[in-house]
Amino acid sequence: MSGLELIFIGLAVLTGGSGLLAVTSPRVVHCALWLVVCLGSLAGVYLVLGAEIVALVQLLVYVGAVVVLVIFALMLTRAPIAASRRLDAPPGQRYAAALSGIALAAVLAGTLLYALGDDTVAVQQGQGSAAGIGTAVFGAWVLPFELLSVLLLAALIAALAISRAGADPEVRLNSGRDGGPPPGPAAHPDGPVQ
Amino acid sequence: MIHLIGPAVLASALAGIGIYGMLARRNAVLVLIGAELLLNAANVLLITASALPPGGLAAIPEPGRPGPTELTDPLLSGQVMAIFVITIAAAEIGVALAIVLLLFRSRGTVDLTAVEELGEASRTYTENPAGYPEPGPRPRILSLVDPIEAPVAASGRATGGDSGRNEGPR
Repeated sequence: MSGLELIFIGLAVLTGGSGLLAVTSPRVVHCALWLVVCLGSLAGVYLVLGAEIVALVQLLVYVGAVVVLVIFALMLTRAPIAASRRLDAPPGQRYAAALSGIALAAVLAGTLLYALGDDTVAVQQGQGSAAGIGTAVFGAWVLPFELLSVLLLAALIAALAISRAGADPEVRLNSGRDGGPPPGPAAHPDGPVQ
Repeated sequence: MIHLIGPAVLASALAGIGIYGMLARRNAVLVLIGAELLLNAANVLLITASALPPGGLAAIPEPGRPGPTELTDPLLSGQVMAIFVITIAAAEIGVALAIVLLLFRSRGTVDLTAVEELGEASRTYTENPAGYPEPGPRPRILSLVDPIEAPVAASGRATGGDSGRNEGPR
Protein backbone atom coordinates (compact mmCIF):
# COMPACT_ATOMS: atom_id res chain seq x y z
CA MET A 1 0.00 0.00 0.00
CA SER A 2 1.59 3.19 -1.17
CA GLY A 3 1.58 6.56 0.52
CA LEU A 4 -0.76 7.91 -2.13
CA GLU A 5 -3.25 5.22 -1.24
CA LEU A 6 -3.04 6.04 2.47
CA ILE A 7 -3.77 9.69 1.71
CA PHE A 8 -6.65 8.60 -0.50
CA ILE A 9 -8.17 6.41 2.20
CA GLY A 10 -7.96 9.20 4.75
CA LEU A 11 -9.63 11.67 2.41
CA ALA A 12 -12.29 9.13 1.39
CA VAL A 13 -13.19 8.41 5.02
CA LEU A 14 -13.39 12.16 5.68
CA THR A 15 -15.61 12.61 2.61
CA GLY A 16 -17.96 9.79 3.49
CA GLY A 17 -18.22 10.75 7.16
CA SER A 18 -18.88 14.42 6.51
CA GLY A 19 -21.34 13.56 3.76
CA LEU A 20 -23.23 11.31 6.16
CA LEU A 21 -23.29 14.09 8.75
CA ALA A 22 -24.47 16.58 6.11
CA VAL A 23 -27.60 14.52 5.44
CA THR A 24 -28.31 13.52 9.05
CA SER A 25 -27.44 16.53 11.19
CA PRO A 26 -30.47 18.10 12.93
CA ARG A 27 -29.14 21.64 12.52
CA VAL A 28 -29.39 23.15 9.04
CA VAL A 29 -26.29 25.32 9.35
CA HIS A 30 -24.24 22.31 10.44
CA CYS A 31 -25.52 20.49 7.37
CA ALA A 32 -24.21 23.25 5.11
CA LEU A 33 -20.86 23.35 6.91
CA TRP A 34 -20.45 19.56 6.76
CA LEU A 35 -21.17 19.86 3.05
CA VAL A 36 -18.21 22.26 2.83
CA VAL A 37 -15.97 19.65 4.50
CA CYS A 38 -17.29 16.90 2.22
CA LEU A 39 -16.79 18.84 -1.01
CA GLY A 40 -13.43 20.17 0.10
CA SER A 41 -12.07 16.73 0.87
CA LEU A 42 -13.47 15.54 -2.47
CA ALA A 43 -11.23 18.16 -4.05
CA GLY A 44 -8.36 16.46 -2.23
CA VAL A 45 -9.49 13.10 -3.66
CA TYR A 46 -9.36 14.60 -7.15
CA LEU A 47 -5.84 15.87 -6.47
CA VAL A 48 -4.73 12.38 -5.43
CA LEU A 49 -6.24 10.99 -8.63
CA GLY A 50 -4.23 13.46 -10.69
CA ALA A 51 -6.92 15.94 -11.68
CA GLU A 52 -5.56 19.27 -10.50
CA ILE A 53 -7.77 21.64 -12.47
CA VAL A 54 -10.92 19.71 -11.57
CA ALA A 55 -9.93 19.95 -7.91
CA LEU A 56 -9.52 23.71 -8.22
CA VAL A 57 -12.82 24.06 -10.09
CA GLN A 58 -14.46 21.94 -7.38
CA LEU A 59 -13.14 24.30 -4.71
CA LEU A 60 -14.14 27.42 -6.65
CA VAL A 61 -17.57 26.38 -7.85
CA TYR A 62 -18.80 24.01 -5.17
CA VAL A 63 -17.22 25.25 -1.98
CA GLY A 64 -17.12 28.85 -3.14
CA ALA A 65 -20.43 29.31 -4.91
CA VAL A 66 -22.85 26.43 -4.43
CA VAL A 67 -22.48 26.24 -0.65
CA VAL A 68 -22.82 30.02 -0.38
CA LEU A 69 -26.03 29.76 -2.43
CA VAL A 70 -27.29 27.03 -0.11
CA ILE A 71 -26.49 29.10 2.97
CA PHE A 72 -28.22 32.12 1.44
CA ALA A 73 -31.29 30.00 0.71
CA LEU A 74 -31.31 28.74 4.29
CA MET A 75 -31.09 32.32 5.49
CA LEU A 76 -33.85 33.61 3.20
CA THR A 77 -36.24 30.79 4.08
CA ARG A 78 -35.84 31.52 7.80
CA ALA A 79 -34.49 28.09 8.59
CA PRO A 80 -34.31 27.34 12.30
CA ILE A 81 -30.85 27.76 13.74
CA ALA A 82 -31.40 25.44 16.70
CA ALA A 83 -31.67 21.69 16.36
CA SER A 84 -35.01 20.86 14.83
CA ARG A 85 -36.87 17.61 14.41
CA ARG A 86 -38.94 19.05 11.58
CA LEU A 87 -36.08 18.66 9.10
CA ASP A 88 -36.42 14.89 8.87
CA ALA A 89 -39.24 12.76 7.61
CA PRO A 90 -41.07 10.42 10.04
CA PRO A 91 -39.06 7.38 11.19
CA GLY A 92 -40.73 4.94 8.82
CA GLN A 93 -39.79 6.97 5.79
CA ARG A 94 -36.28 7.44 7.19
CA TYR A 95 -35.80 3.69 7.49
CA ALA A 96 -37.08 3.20 3.96
CA ALA A 97 -34.74 5.93 2.74
CA ALA A 98 -31.78 4.34 4.53
CA LEU A 99 -32.69 0.97 3.06
CA SER A 100 -32.85 2.32 -0.49
CA GLY A 101 -29.62 4.25 -0.01
CA ILE A 102 -27.82 1.16 1.25
CA ALA A 103 -29.33 -0.92 -1.56
CA LEU A 104 -28.19 1.55 -4.20
CA ALA A 105 -24.70 1.73 -2.71
CA ALA A 106 -24.50 -2.06 -2.56
CA VAL A 107 -25.62 -2.56 -6.16
CA LEU A 108 -23.24 0.12 -7.40
CA ALA A 109 -20.30 -1.11 -5.32
CA GLY A 110 -20.95 -4.73 -6.31
CA THR A 111 -21.03 -3.90 -10.00
CA LEU A 112 -17.93 -1.75 -9.82
CA LEU A 113 -15.98 -4.23 -7.72
CA TYR A 114 -16.89 -6.99 -10.18
CA ALA A 115 -15.74 -4.80 -13.07
CA LEU A 116 -12.57 -3.46 -11.50
CA GLY A 117 -11.37 -6.39 -9.43
CA ASP A 118 -8.05 -5.49 -7.89
CA ASP A 119 -6.78 -3.52 -10.83
CA THR A 120 -4.27 -0.87 -10.01
CA VAL A 121 -3.47 2.15 -12.07
CA ALA A 122 -0.50 4.46 -12.05
CA VAL A 123 -1.65 8.02 -11.55
CA GLN A 124 0.18 10.34 -13.87
CA GLN A 125 0.59 13.56 -12.01
CA GLY A 126 0.39 16.45 -14.42
CA GLN A 127 -2.02 14.95 -16.91
CA GLY A 128 -4.78 17.19 -15.57
CA SER A 129 -2.72 20.34 -15.73
CA ALA A 130 -4.12 23.61 -17.00
CA ALA A 131 -2.38 23.21 -20.36
CA GLY A 132 -3.80 19.76 -21.01
CA ILE A 133 -7.33 20.64 -19.91
CA GLY A 134 -7.27 23.89 -21.86
CA THR A 135 -6.12 22.17 -25.02
CA ALA A 136 -8.79 19.52 -24.65
CA VAL A 137 -11.64 21.90 -23.81
CA PHE A 138 -10.90 24.44 -26.54
CA GLY A 139 -9.95 21.78 -29.06
CA ALA A 140 -12.11 18.69 -29.26
CA TRP A 141 -14.68 19.76 -26.67
CA VAL A 142 -15.29 23.31 -27.85
CA LEU A 143 -18.83 22.71 -29.14
CA PRO A 144 -20.13 21.09 -25.92
CA PHE A 145 -18.36 23.84 -24.01
CA GLU A 146 -20.20 26.55 -25.92
CA LEU A 147 -23.48 24.69 -25.51
CA LEU A 148 -22.79 24.58 -21.80
CA SER A 149 -22.35 28.33 -21.65
CA VAL A 150 -25.71 28.75 -23.38
CA LEU A 151 -27.18 26.37 -20.78
CA LEU A 152 -25.74 28.48 -17.96
CA LEU A 153 -27.21 31.63 -19.48
CA ALA A 154 -30.60 29.95 -19.87
CA ALA A 155 -30.49 28.76 -16.26
CA LEU A 156 -29.63 32.26 -15.04
CA ILE A 157 -32.51 33.81 -16.98
CA ALA A 158 -34.84 31.05 -15.78
CA ALA A 159 -33.85 31.65 -12.16
CA LEU A 160 -34.49 35.37 -12.64
CA ALA A 161 -37.87 34.77 -14.27
CA ILE A 162 -38.94 32.30 -11.59
CA SER A 163 -37.95 34.55 -8.73
CA ARG A 164 -39.76 37.51 -10.31
CA ALA A 165 -42.99 35.61 -10.83
CA GLY A 166 -44.41 36.58 -7.46
CA ALA A 167 -42.96 40.07 -7.24
CA ASP A 168 -44.07 41.66 -10.51
CA PRO A 169 -47.60 43.11 -10.29
CA GLU A 170 -48.11 42.34 -13.99
CA VAL A 171 -47.72 38.62 -13.47
CA ARG A 172 -48.82 38.37 -9.87
CA LEU A 173 -50.26 34.98 -9.20
CA ASN A 174 -53.33 36.30 -7.39
CA SER A 175 -54.48 38.73 -10.07
CA GLY A 176 -57.09 37.41 -12.47
CA ARG A 177 -55.92 37.46 -16.06
CA ASP A 178 -58.13 38.76 -18.84
CA GLY A 179 -60.90 36.25 -19.29
CA GLY A 180 -60.61 34.86 -15.79
CA PRO A 181 -63.09 35.73 -13.07
CA PRO A 182 -62.10 38.68 -10.92
CA PRO A 183 -60.73 37.70 -7.52
CA GLY A 184 -63.23 38.29 -4.81
CA PRO A 185 -64.67 36.77 -1.69
CA ALA A 186 -67.21 34.77 -3.68
CA ALA A 187 -64.55 33.31 -5.95
CA HIS A 188 -62.09 32.55 -3.17
CA PRO A 189 -61.09 28.92 -3.59
CA ASP A 190 -60.30 28.39 0.07
CA GLY A 191 -63.97 28.65 0.94
CA PRO A 192 -65.47 31.01 3.49
CA VAL A 193 -63.13 32.11 6.21
CA GLN A 194 -64.55 31.23 9.58
CA MET B 1 0.03 2.85 -8.10
CA ILE B 2 -3.41 3.12 -6.64
CA HIS B 3 -6.16 0.55 -6.34
CA LEU B 4 -9.28 1.38 -8.35
CA ILE B 5 -11.66 -0.10 -5.79
CA GLY B 6 -11.08 2.84 -3.44
CA PRO B 7 -12.70 5.46 -5.69
CA ALA B 8 -15.39 2.96 -6.69
CA VAL B 9 -16.39 2.33 -3.07
CA LEU B 10 -16.27 6.07 -2.33
CA ALA B 11 -18.55 6.85 -5.29
CA SER B 12 -21.02 4.13 -4.24
CA ALA B 13 -21.09 5.41 -0.66
CA LEU B 14 -21.64 8.99 -1.81
CA ALA B 15 -24.48 7.90 -4.10
CA GLY B 16 -26.15 6.00 -1.27
CA ILE B 17 -25.76 8.95 1.11
CA GLY B 18 -27.19 11.28 -1.52
CA ILE B 19 -30.23 9.06 -2.07
CA TYR B 20 -30.79 8.87 1.69
CA GLY B 21 -30.54 12.67 1.92
CA MET B 22 -33.03 13.19 -0.89
CA LEU B 23 -35.58 10.73 0.51
CA ALA B 24 -35.31 11.29 4.26
CA ARG B 25 -35.29 15.08 4.43
CA ARG B 26 -38.29 17.36 4.56
CA ASN B 27 -36.60 20.72 4.17
CA ALA B 28 -36.32 21.48 0.45
CA VAL B 29 -32.84 23.00 0.75
CA LEU B 30 -31.53 19.88 2.50
CA VAL B 31 -33.01 17.70 -0.26
CA LEU B 32 -30.87 19.71 -2.66
CA ILE B 33 -27.78 18.88 -0.59
CA GLY B 34 -28.54 15.21 -1.22
CA ALA B 35 -28.75 15.92 -4.96
CA GLU B 36 -25.36 17.60 -4.84
CA LEU B 37 -23.83 14.54 -3.18
CA LEU B 38 -25.28 12.33 -5.94
CA LEU B 39 -23.71 14.52 -8.63
CA ASN B 40 -20.39 14.36 -6.82
CA ALA B 41 -20.55 10.57 -6.77
CA ALA B 42 -20.78 10.67 -10.56
CA ASN B 43 -17.83 13.05 -10.65
CA VAL B 44 -15.66 10.70 -8.60
CA LEU B 45 -16.29 7.93 -11.11
CA LEU B 46 -15.49 10.24 -14.03
CA ILE B 47 -12.20 11.31 -12.46
CA THR B 48 -11.35 7.69 -11.72
CA ALA B 49 -12.00 6.78 -15.33
CA SER B 50 -9.71 9.55 -16.47
CA ALA B 51 -6.86 7.97 -14.52
CA LEU B 52 -7.09 4.86 -16.72
CA PRO B 53 -4.87 4.61 -19.77
CA PRO B 54 -6.53 5.25 -23.14
CA GLY B 55 -8.57 2.17 -23.95
CA GLY B 56 -9.97 1.87 -20.46
CA LEU B 57 -9.83 -1.19 -18.26
CA ALA B 58 -8.76 -3.44 -21.13
CA ALA B 59 -5.62 -1.41 -21.66
CA ILE B 60 -4.28 -1.75 -18.11
CA PRO B 61 -0.85 -3.35 -18.47
CA GLU B 62 -0.63 -6.95 -17.25
CA PRO B 63 2.40 -9.21 -16.91
CA GLY B 64 1.70 -11.16 -20.11
CA ARG B 65 0.64 -8.21 -22.20
CA PRO B 66 2.39 -5.13 -23.52
CA GLY B 67 1.40 -1.87 -21.92
CA PRO B 68 -0.45 0.89 -23.70
CA THR B 69 1.40 2.79 -26.35
CA GLU B 70 0.05 6.09 -25.08
CA LEU B 71 0.12 6.95 -21.40
CA THR B 72 -2.65 9.55 -21.30
CA ASP B 73 -5.75 10.17 -23.33
CA PRO B 74 -5.22 13.50 -25.13
CA LEU B 75 -8.94 14.25 -24.96
CA LEU B 76 -8.99 13.90 -21.14
CA SER B 77 -12.64 12.87 -21.44
CA GLY B 78 -13.19 12.07 -17.78
CA GLN B 79 -11.85 15.32 -16.42
CA VAL B 80 -13.55 17.50 -19.02
CA MET B 81 -16.83 15.69 -18.36
CA ALA B 82 -16.35 16.28 -14.63
CA ILE B 83 -15.97 20.01 -15.26
CA PHE B 84 -19.13 19.92 -17.37
CA VAL B 85 -21.00 18.13 -14.58
CA ILE B 86 -19.86 20.75 -12.08
CA THR B 87 -21.14 23.50 -14.38
CA ILE B 88 -24.49 21.78 -14.86
CA ALA B 89 -24.75 21.31 -11.09
CA ALA B 90 -24.21 25.04 -10.60
CA ALA B 91 -26.95 25.84 -13.10
CA GLU B 92 -29.25 23.27 -11.51
CA ILE B 93 -28.87 24.58 -7.99
CA GLY B 94 -29.49 28.14 -9.15
CA VAL B 95 -32.84 27.25 -10.70
CA ALA B 96 -33.74 24.91 -7.85
CA LEU B 97 -33.09 27.51 -5.18
CA ALA B 98 -35.15 30.05 -7.12
CA ILE B 99 -38.04 27.56 -7.07
CA VAL B 100 -37.52 26.97 -3.33
CA LEU B 101 -37.59 30.71 -2.66
CA LEU B 102 -40.77 31.07 -4.73
CA LEU B 103 -42.31 28.23 -2.73
CA PHE B 104 -41.35 29.98 0.50
CA ARG B 105 -42.80 33.28 -0.68
CA SER B 106 -46.11 31.82 -1.78
CA ARG B 107 -46.59 29.23 1.00
CA GLY B 108 -44.46 30.51 3.84
CA THR B 109 -42.70 27.17 4.29
CA VAL B 110 -40.13 24.98 2.60
CA ASP B 111 -41.40 21.86 4.33
CA LEU B 112 -42.09 19.46 1.48
CA THR B 113 -44.76 17.56 3.43
CA ALA B 114 -46.72 20.77 4.04
CA VAL B 115 -47.29 21.43 0.34
CA GLU B 116 -48.60 18.00 -0.53
CA GLU B 117 -51.52 19.41 -2.52
CA LEU B 118 -48.92 20.00 -5.26
CA GLY B 119 -48.57 16.23 -5.69
CA GLU B 120 -51.02 14.27 -7.79
CA ALA B 121 -51.23 11.47 -5.22
CA SER B 122 -52.77 13.67 -2.53
CA ARG B 123 -56.51 13.79 -1.93
CA THR B 124 -56.54 17.56 -2.14
CA TYR B 125 -54.68 17.75 -5.44
CA THR B 126 -56.17 20.24 -7.84
CA GLU B 127 -55.12 21.46 -11.22
CA ASN B 128 -55.76 25.00 -10.05
CA PRO B 129 -54.51 25.42 -6.48
CA ALA B 130 -55.52 28.36 -4.35
CA GLY B 131 -54.55 31.76 -5.61
CA TYR B 132 -53.64 30.82 -9.14
CA PRO B 133 -55.48 32.38 -12.08
CA GLU B 134 -58.08 30.40 -13.96
CA PRO B 135 -56.67 28.82 -17.09
CA GLY B 136 -57.46 31.23 -19.89
CA PRO B 137 -57.47 30.58 -23.62
CA ARG B 138 -54.50 28.57 -24.79
CA PRO B 139 -51.47 30.70 -25.60
CA ARG B 140 -50.76 30.87 -29.30
CA ILE B 141 -47.61 28.87 -29.68
CA LEU B 142 -47.33 29.46 -33.40
CA SER B 143 -47.31 33.22 -33.14
CA LEU B 144 -44.04 33.30 -35.07
CA VAL B 145 -45.82 31.79 -38.05
CA ASP B 146 -48.77 34.15 -37.90
CA PRO B 147 -47.22 37.18 -39.65
CA ILE B 148 -46.65 35.02 -42.72
CA GLU B 149 -49.93 33.18 -42.73
CA ALA B 150 -52.12 35.97 -41.42
CA PRO B 151 -52.26 38.11 -44.61
CA VAL B 152 -53.15 35.06 -46.70
CA ALA B 153 -55.85 33.98 -44.29
CA ALA B 154 -57.15 37.53 -43.90
CA SER B 155 -57.27 38.17 -47.62
CA GLY B 156 -58.92 34.82 -48.21
CA ARG B 157 -61.49 35.55 -45.54
CA ALA B 158 -61.95 39.08 -46.86
CA THR B 159 -62.65 37.98 -50.41
CA GLY B 160 -64.88 35.21 -49.19
CA GLY B 161 -66.73 37.60 -46.95
CA ASP B 162 -66.99 40.17 -49.71
CA SER B 163 -68.36 37.71 -52.19
CA GLY B 164 -70.81 36.42 -49.62
CA ARG B 165 -71.89 39.91 -48.75
CA ASN B 166 -72.17 40.80 -52.40
CA GLU B 167 -74.22 37.75 -53.14
CA GLY B 168 -76.40 38.17 -50.10
CA PRO B 169 -78.63 41.04 -51.18
CA ARG B 170 -79.14 39.72 -54.65
